[in-house]
Amino acid sequence: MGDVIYYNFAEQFSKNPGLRFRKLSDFSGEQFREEVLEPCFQNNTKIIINVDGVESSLGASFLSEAFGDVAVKYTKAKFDELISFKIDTPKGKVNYEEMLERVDEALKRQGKL
Amino acid sequence: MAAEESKAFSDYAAIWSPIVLSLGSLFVSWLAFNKAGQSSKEIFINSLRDKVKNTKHFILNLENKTYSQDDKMSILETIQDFLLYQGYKDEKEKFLNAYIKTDLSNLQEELEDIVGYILIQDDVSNNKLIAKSKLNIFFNQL
Repeated sequence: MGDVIYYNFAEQFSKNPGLRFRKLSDFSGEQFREEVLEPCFQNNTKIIINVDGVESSLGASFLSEAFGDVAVKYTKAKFDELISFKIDTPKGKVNYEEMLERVDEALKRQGKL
Repeated sequence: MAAEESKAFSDYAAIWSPIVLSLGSLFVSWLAFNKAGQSSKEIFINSLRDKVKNTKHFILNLENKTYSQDDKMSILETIQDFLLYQGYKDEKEKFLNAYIKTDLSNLQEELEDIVGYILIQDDVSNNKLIAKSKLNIFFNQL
């Protein structure tokens, strides 16, 4: 595995993440998946995401599109190996748990869980 | 003989009376707890019903106009709050069955998409009807 990326979501992406698709809003889940998560899988790099500075929540559609799609594409085992959140704050923990639920739902929809 | 029987009864009563009283007290406490639990559930479900209705009215009243990114996020947050997104975890676990919990989770995600299309003025009237229909179906399950 390559280096570990410590990713500050609010500083490096947005304090106000948007909706599912680029056409629906800025800072979408689609954009985050393509620009941040896909390269991690392609380079086999672990990423630890810090969402503490995010002003609003990461929405359900954002999480599903960004994280659910890569879990479906690269398998849950690989996903668990590479994707992690900083979870020592309530915001980090809540968003991490929500993300895992959206990933499970995406995998179920594809018959992969 | 009678004195022995009387003493035996006294011993028996001395042992069992506190136990019976304790069990009775426990039962009364359980009844009170159960009644309070039911009330909490009713309050939570009624509140969720109101929030679902408010979500419907909020979406149906969205204006046909161009929304800024800040407007969109503010609208999104309002809908997330109405539908208990990332909140009330204990209450949802305690008062909603597995099917309704799943439906609520799906509703949160689907409505974000539908409202997203409304906010970019894509087939607004049809998307409002879809949102209304999904909210009505969920409301009737509660």
